[in-house]
Amino acid sequence: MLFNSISYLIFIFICSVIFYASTYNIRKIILLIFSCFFYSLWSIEFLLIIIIATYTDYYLAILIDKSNSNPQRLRLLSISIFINLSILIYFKYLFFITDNIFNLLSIININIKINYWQIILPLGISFYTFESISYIVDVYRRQYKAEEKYLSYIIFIMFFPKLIAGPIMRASKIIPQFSIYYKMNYIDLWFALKRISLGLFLKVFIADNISTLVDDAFSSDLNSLSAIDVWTVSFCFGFQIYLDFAAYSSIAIGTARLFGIHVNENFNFPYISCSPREFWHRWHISLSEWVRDYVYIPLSGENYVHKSNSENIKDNKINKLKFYSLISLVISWIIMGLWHGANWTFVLWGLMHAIYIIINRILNYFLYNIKSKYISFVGWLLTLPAIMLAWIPFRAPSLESSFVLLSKVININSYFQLGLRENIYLVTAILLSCHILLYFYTNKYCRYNKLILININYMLLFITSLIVLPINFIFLRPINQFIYFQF
Amino acid sequence: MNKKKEYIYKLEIFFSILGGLVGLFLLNLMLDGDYTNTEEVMLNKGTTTIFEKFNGNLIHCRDNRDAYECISGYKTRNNGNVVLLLGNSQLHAINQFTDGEEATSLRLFKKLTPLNLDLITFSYGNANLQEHSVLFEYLLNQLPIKTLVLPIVFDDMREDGVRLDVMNINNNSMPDTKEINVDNSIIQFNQEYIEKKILDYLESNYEFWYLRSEGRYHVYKNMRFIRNYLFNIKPSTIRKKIPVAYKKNFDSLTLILELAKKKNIKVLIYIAPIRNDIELPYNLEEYNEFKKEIELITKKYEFIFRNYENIVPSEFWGLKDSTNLEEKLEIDYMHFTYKGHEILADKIYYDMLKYK
Repeated sequence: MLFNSISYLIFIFICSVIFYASTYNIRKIILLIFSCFFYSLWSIEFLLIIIIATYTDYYLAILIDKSNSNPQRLRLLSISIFINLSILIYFKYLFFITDNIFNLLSIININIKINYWQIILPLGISFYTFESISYIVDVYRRQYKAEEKYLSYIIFIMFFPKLIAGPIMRASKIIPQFSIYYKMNYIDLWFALKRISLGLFLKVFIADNISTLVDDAFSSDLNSLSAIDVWTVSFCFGFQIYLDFAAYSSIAIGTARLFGIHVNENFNFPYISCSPREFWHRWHISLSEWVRDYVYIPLSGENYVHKSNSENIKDNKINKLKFYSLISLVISWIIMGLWHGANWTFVLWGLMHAIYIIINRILNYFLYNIKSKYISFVGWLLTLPAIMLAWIPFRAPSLESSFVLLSKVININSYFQLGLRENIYLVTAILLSCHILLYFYTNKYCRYNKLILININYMLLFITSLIVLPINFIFLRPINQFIYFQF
Repeated sequence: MNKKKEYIYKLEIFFSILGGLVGLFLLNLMLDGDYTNTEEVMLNKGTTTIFEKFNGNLIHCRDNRDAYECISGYKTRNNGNVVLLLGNSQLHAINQFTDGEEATSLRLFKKLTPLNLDLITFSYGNANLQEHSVLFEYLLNQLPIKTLVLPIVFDDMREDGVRLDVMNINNNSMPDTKEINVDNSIIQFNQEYIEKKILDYLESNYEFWYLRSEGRYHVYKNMRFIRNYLFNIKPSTIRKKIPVAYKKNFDSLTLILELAKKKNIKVLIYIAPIRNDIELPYNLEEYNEFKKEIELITKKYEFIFRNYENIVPSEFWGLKDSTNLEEKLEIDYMHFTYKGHEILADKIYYDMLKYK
């Protein structure tokens, strides 16, 4: 079900009314029924896959929890991860893997042809598979006790606000919240309405309107674009995907709060980051934390080092530059890229980020004791274009077209013309300015001038509502789905 | 939460709700049902939009929204072969309109009827050739098109992309193909279906809901006005060629001509009239090159090329309301008065006769 529709608003209204009218005992069942309905509007068949996969994980988690034999626990964990990844690989990567194997074989003149059948990618599969894996690994690590009741586990996976596109949550954060008898209060209700309105505004008014500019640019003859055009398009798409996904996350967070569930934030002004590492603390936070905790740290064997321990920080920086650590980083980023889609363009995107972070680590090693706001500013000036440029392979239709576009950027001669309509340059500049201004307003100005700002805040709230509500009313149409639905 | 915080919080809620209510109230005042459609934001009260009818049937349509009316109208008349005229707002906009005046489409329709030719016109604001190409391909399957008349406008070569209302024409044009038959077929119980039912209900029962598209029109229009005001953009501001959009439109023109050739359809291409008693808002070098390229491609496919840029004398070009928040009237380079429509219709008719 698309969030940017009137049917979704009616759906959450009905769901909330029934939820609050029911007793504590059946509230989880109510949420489960509505979540199943939410998903089945897209496909009833794939609902079965979720139910089977969750039941397997639920059962295996109990066995892992009860077992005292480490080899047996590891075996059970492996079975669970194998099942989860098999489902994901079948639906998402089968064609990609076989295509690439056949292409390789054709180099040595072995030509294999298969009549492919149609595979439809189940909505949200990448998100709920990662949640299932995190649950089973946490149980294996004895960081979380296996759920005794299947209902508690399935509602964690299927809770509709975050089912399709996250945020990717941990069982320890969500499941206990379902067990609390929640009474709605006006603070939570207000928070929920604010987040849903904000999300809708970002999606239906900003992201959807930018999408036409970006789509037009990418559907053109890419050879005719200039370097300035490539930069502009990468920035514009960077904002489109940010606003689109942040809008989804905002609506998800707001909707979850309607039922008293606190879902983690997924974004925090990513484009003001002063380093690639900081960017990943601000962008799709739930995914980057997942990859860190379940891929990178197990591969590299690294541990967290507290900031106060300066000796350890230096050692840690040296460790981070060791070959094994860097290889783990690259593998993590390839996984991060492939998670987004079965295409080499996503691998390239992941590799670009891996390179950025490696460069960041090297610079960090040499500059770690220099503290200056100028360094931060220079960091931002370098990070922002690098991050934006990485969106090119993410959005480009093929690897070849990604290279065509990226090669423009290093060609000095292609900096002297403009190939796109004026509006895209203007819109991109406005978005960038607004993003920076909004960051300084909310994070710097408001923090230090709280008292003075109270009156200005009221005025701003009044003006914001004056604009947001009517805009949402007239632009609310499910004309574009959220970009992250395809992952 | 202490009392002071609670008080501040409640004030926040109060001001937000107040803002939302005032916003909706102002929106209600703004929506008066007096608009054409969302895309035609450049047209305004100095310019009147006319989509012509003949004997109660539309002969001049826009896109997906009314295409079936033109098609069913033709089928009712059953008047021989079809001449298809595809264009931009120049065809449906009359400056300083007074009652009884006709647009090019109706005048030409009346002239062609005795020749057993039925003129069907499609036009929409800032129409580009990518959109014409989609529309032409669709209409080929719906109507026995014998001749295509295609005005080419330099300004529209700067436009890019295909609007939803044009893009959806292949799926949604005829109402009998899009209606879901509740009694006889399996209901697709999906969100699209539910959403459509809810929207249909709201639009037919609440006028305020129905006027949402007018709201979008006002938002786009005002955003454009603000942009023009801030950057001092006026009708006379020089518009440069946009290479990416130009190439896509030129490719679409080639596609149209290839298709016409394949289907044995005659094509008359003309450079649209433009006000020429004052300096053109184009880079002249680019404009001349554009005309040359259009002529060359038309002749390559052995179709007829005409240059009508100077056919409408300066006295028949009107003025339009400001497009950048200033009060004064602006020069209109694209739309003319009724007399201009008369001249254009006669000129097309004359050239079609020669072509025949």
